Amino acid sequence: MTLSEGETLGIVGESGCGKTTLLRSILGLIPIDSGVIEVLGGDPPGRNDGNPVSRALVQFVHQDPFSSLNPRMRIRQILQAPLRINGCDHSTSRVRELLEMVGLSHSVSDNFPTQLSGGQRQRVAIARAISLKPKVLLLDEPVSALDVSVQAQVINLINNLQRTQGFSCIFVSHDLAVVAQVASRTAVMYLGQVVEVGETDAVLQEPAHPYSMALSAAVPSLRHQPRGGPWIAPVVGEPPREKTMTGCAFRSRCWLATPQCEVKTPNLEERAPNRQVACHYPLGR
Amino acid sequence: MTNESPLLEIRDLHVKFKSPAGLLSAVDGVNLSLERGKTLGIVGESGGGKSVLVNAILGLLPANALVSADRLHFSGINLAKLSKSEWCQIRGRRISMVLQDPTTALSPLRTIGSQLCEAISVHNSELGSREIRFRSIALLESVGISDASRRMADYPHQWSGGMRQRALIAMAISNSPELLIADEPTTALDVTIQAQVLELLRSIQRERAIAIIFISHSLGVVKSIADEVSVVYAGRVVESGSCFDVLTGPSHPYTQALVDCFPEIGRLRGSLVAIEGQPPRQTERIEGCRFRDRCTIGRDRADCACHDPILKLSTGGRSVACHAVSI
Repeated sequence: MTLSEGETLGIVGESGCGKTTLLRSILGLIPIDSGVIEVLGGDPPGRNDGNPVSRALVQFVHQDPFSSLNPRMRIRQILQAPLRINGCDHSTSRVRELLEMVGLSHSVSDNFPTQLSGGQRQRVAIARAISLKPKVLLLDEPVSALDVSVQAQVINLINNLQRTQGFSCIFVSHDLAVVAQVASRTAVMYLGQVVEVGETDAVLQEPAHPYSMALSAAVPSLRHQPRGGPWIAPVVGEPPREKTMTGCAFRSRCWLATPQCEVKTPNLEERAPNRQVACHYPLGR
Repeated sequence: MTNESPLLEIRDLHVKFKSPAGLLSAVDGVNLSLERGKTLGIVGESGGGKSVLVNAILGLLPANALVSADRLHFSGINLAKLSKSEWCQIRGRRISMVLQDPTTALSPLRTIGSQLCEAISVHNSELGSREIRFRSIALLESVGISDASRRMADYPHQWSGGMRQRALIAMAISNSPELLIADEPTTALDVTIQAQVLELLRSIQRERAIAIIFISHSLGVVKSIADEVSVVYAGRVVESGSCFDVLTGPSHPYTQALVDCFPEIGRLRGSLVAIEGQPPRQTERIEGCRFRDRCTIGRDRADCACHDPILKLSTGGRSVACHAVSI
């Protein structure tokens, strides 16, 4: 998987697909067993050996705005802490500037997180994350805990900030419709593997992997729905408890599966310009 | 239109809570009705009063709640006047519910089977344990749990969220209720599992002619399952009517705003129109329409500032509470 400069890469998948684990590996919070993660030409932050990139350059916004802010610190202190630790300007005017960037009034500086709404707290978390001018921003389900109208506010905010601040961004979500609003490229994950990656609109609207298709088809839509519910792709059951070592991880639920899918693991291959799919029988090709 | 009176009829329901901060108004004059075998979707953002509304229907409000209504009738029975023992005949039997979090709704210390059997035996004391077990297994099978007989001995932690929700649905339909209340039943589930559970609810309704009240903050989910919809804002119903019609062609500015900010695959990036501001707090006394501050139309209108709009019946069975909508 690659993330280019200034790009927003979406990662979608359901529980257990590994998307959060992936983010934590990039942040250097989890050691990896094999393979290479290269961040800005160096190793993930926090390592004692190798060439770890500075933590300031790789920042993170957590899903839960209720637990990611210390309830005993005022907003002002929450924003000043990383600035002070990194020897940056942590004056009142810098705090005001950051709050303004995320659309919050300076009057919230003296509040405690519990006095703010979920959407406001998430804005503070975003302000904190961009305060050190990171090159890479990792967002783990940043709007999932928010009401739909507040989701829209925060989605718009993230898009705007990316344009003005120029960071590269990985946006993880189980919500395909939200990812469609922010990401130019999207990777679909299933049981720890990337099964498809390409331009967002292409992957979500003309999926090549059967799982991508099942995901897209299952998303409740206001526009594309006849009366009586959506057409649901014939994916039955749930992901298996134990991952199989050989063959395709999706075969137990795939309506196209053949005996070959049981023995031969499909590799992520370029099947079309700017589209990679891990499937023996990709759709539409 | 049928000649039968509706299964559930609510008129002018008010629910207030006594609190140190004063009287909090959670539901403020709600009207709704539901016919047998139909699904009513209730949509709106958090704090709008949706869950308080259904808890009022189920008689599950806390002691500091003050409930008043012109009519709060289920199948001709006045729910506002039931005694505790009368409620036991209704809850779990004639009206049942499925809640959002399948993890906390099941006891972790007991097997799925024992909890399902209990749901049946509590309302059917004349049945023997063998018959109850037989029915429980059949119910689990009917909600799509394979190998049900063996799985009766499983504990909730051994099942996934989707399977637990299916077990809860099985419990909810075990006594053939007339009304099933589902409060965000798929919100905590993965999207492909959500699709399966929604399909399950639809098929249960078709086969058993159960009326369903389905609460969700997701317009897309409600559209996929409900026949009728009521849009709730700050404790009031602001629009109601046929689900398809309301969500494809909203009349009330709040409904329109919800549609405008609903993310969709294929929707132009950057086209989400956020609703500014936040819903009013429950203690706030508001002159005029409570949506006015966030409404692009009502912000500058005098009638919206002074008069609280009433839900009025319009063409095609639609009702809207808005001064800007001509009837």
